[in-house]
Amino acid sequence: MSESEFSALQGQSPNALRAGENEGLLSAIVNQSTVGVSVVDLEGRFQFVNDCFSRLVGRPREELLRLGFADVTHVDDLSQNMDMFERARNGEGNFEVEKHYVRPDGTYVWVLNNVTFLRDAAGVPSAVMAVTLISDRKRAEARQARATKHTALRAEVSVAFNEGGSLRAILQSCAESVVSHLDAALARIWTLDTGRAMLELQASSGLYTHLDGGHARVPVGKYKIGLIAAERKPHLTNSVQKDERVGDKEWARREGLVSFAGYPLLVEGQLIGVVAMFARIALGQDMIEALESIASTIAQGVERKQAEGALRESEERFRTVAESASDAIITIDEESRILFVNRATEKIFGHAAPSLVGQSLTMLMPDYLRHVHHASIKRYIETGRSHISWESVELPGLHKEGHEISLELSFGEFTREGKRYFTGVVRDVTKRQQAEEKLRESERSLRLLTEAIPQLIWSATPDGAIDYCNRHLLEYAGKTLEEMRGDGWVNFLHHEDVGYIMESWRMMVKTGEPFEVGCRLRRADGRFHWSISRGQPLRDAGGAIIRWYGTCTDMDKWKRAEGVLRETQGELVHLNRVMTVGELTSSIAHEINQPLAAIVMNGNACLRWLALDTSEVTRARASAELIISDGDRASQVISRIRALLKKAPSANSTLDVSELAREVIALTQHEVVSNGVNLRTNLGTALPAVSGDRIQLQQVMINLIVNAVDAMRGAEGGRRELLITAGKESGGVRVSVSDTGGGFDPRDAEHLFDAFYTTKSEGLGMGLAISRSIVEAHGGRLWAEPNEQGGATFHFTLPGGEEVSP
Amino acid sequence: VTDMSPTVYVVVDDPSIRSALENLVSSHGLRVETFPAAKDFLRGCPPNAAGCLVLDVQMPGLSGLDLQRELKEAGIHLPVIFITGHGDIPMSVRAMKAGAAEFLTKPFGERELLTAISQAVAHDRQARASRTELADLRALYDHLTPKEREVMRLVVRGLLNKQIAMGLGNSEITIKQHRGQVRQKMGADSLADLVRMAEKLGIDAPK
Repeated sequence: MSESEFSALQGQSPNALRAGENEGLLSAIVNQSTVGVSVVDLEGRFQFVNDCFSRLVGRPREELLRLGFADVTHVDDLSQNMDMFERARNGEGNFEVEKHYVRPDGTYVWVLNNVTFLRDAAGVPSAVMAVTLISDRKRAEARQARATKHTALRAEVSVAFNEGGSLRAILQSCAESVVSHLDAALARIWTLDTGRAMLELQASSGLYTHLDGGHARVPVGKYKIGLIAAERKPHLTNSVQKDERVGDKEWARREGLVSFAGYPLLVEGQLIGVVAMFARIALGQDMIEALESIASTIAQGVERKQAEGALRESEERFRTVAESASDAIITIDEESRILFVNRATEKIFGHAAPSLVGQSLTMLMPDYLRHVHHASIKRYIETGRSHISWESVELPGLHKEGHEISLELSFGEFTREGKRYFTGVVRDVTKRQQAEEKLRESERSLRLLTEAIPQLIWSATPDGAIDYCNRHLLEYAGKTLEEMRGDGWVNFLHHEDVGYIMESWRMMVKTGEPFEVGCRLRRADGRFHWSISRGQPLRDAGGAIIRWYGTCTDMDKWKRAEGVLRETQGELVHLNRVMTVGELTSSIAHEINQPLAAIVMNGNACLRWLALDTSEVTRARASAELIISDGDRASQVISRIRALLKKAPSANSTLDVSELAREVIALTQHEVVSNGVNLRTNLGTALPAVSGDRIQLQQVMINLIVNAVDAMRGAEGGRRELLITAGKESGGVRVSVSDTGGGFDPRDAEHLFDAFYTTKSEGLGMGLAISRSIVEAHGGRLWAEPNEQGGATFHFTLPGGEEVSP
Repeated sequence: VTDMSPTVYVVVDDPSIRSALENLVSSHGLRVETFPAAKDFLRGCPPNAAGCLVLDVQMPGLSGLDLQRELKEAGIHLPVIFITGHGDIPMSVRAMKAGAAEFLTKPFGERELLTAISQAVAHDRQARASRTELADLRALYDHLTPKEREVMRLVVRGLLNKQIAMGLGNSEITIKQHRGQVRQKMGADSLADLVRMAEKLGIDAPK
């Protein structure tokens, strides 16, 4: 349609066309026109067509007036065409579209269709379509121009990937090419992240070039881009406004965007990313093909690029690990040629790393292993059987300087292009082996020591099971280690000791405290020997018990010596008693003399009474009775002395200390009085009964009294007073003997009780030592205190029970 | 002054010895009183006790020697027979020095004891008698005037009346009268009698 024809049409109102007087002329003009003209209603149904239009579409006017424009439009153009018509009808105004009509014979014609909306006098709208044929040449020219652009696009994309640079730069260049060659308003490319859940925007060209913002990261499966990725299918539309996946339609309208195309980037079905574009024009088939083509190129390029990055990274990682490893890492091929060695290899073998590459691995082996190595590799390659463990094997190696080194090796293999390669990790264990040898040596000598030492030694696990006894212990017990192991040692104990030994043992294991017990052990000859067993835990740095170690010490000789000592002590106690009694000789003589003198007098009196004329028989009988009583008294004194002098084993009986004191006082009274000493006593009644040896406790009292009298005899002048008291003490009784003698230096308070400590010219100095041992053997305590007004007081306590009934 | 029949006082702590002594002494017809301790005797002893004391040297509390000293201080002049154990030589010496009548070592014979007792009792009787005569003289002498005592002192020196009169500044006649009074009051038969009395009373003898 020429410009003048068009303006003529536009210049006239359709009302005029319908109602005007020139209708016939106008109709003729229109029908004669070489421009196809049609009028459609808002539903797109033909209201009017001219002859030219009828010819163009190959259908008679009558038929067309029953059809709509959609019925004659090529299916490829239909949706775009309908979309545009719809927009125009809704007030978007007029439009022009390049499309092809289909004829009933299946051929089609390319046309340029100019659409104008009009209203008649009644306000009823309709659209006038002016259609001109596009020539095949022109169409071919346009297609060629597009094809050229598409080829340029493909070439640029390929070049971008081949030129290299960062992936992001490459993709940006691709996006820019899409904008410039596909007339895109916005082109963007996303790649899938390593987590395979998120698309990351890598390139953006056209309307926006920034990579952050709302679409920088799109979850797979969300929005139109995420759905393309999730479905692995392209999404295409030439009517953005109608597309339900386009989110911001207002934005698209504002920007005049008509079409959208998004393609998943796929390599062998594997998702790599998404490429997408918006355009202000409808997308033609060739554009879509071009986009599909570059999508594939981009996908492969991205995948290759990513693989290269991963490989490089992995290689770098391997190299870092290999170089920083303290173990040697060596790779060889099937011929045992060294392909790679790390820095540690140099340290272990002494050869410079570069000098090793290309050499045979056997140069790192002693002569005698080389042919074995070759044979082994050969056999392995042929049969797949290896004669050593690949996990860990110890083999000698050869150092550059010619000496052998101890190595621990492990191997791995890999195959590339049908060839096998072997990588070995080699650790120098020379030092470790030396240390192990030293440890073994030290263990050997320690074992030798424990076996040779004349001690009975054992060890046990943390839970108390015996796991070692030295030779001496086994010989001592006459048992084998197997018999002693675990709980077997219990048979080595005296049956009476088993109970408390097991209890101590359990406590030891439970508390982790060292233990020490005395017990009887059965020797190989069946005799029981007293022994002291001790156990001590060995703990690790964290304090946990690793093992128990212990000894048994045969105490039989000591035990026997102890018995002898006890006997000797008994002798000594007796000796002290004899000597003390010896000191009391004059007292004793006095004690016996008294009744004897009385007997003589009474005897005389008796005779006298009988001789009297009056024959005083009654008085004579009374005299005889006195004689008998005095005789009894004398014999009592003598038996008391004899008891004191008797060497008797200690015997326990229930005693009243006050009574004991009175007997002793009777024996020593003369000693006291003859030395001008005034004796006072305060002996309590109903005192708790004491269990003990009568004679030994009397001996203690005699010792204390004789000492007190001696102390006062030594001190010239002053009063001489001896006070003996016996009273209750918490838990028993206390006896005190107090004098007014010279006293003692408080610093000597304890020396007083030392054996052979004496201030007297006669005596052994054993009295107090023996007295103390007697009192302590009775569970009591003996001590001395200086008196305030001179002299000393000796106290002793004894544990008591029930009160003695008075 | 009533004449006490002599008693043997026994102070011995040992009950056997005490009973035996009582028995033996009484079998000889002597009165006996026994005490277990010195302080008991001091409490129970009559002031004009006659006889003797048998005393154990070694007794708890107040010893025999202590008692001997206390009795002397109290003016009780009973002769003391000490009895002692064997070997108390130093004690015996001290007792004798202090005026003990006898010292017996246990065991002693019956005769030993009775001899000692009878001698002690006899001695006590004499001492008691002489103590009675002197007391009489002392009572007569206490009745003399100071002048008469002065005269008597000079008379027993053997001075003549004249010499006495000159010495005292009196007439010879006055002296003669005093002299008569003295002889009468003292009951002296002769000058020799008077001299013996003066001696007993401890009046200065002529130098």
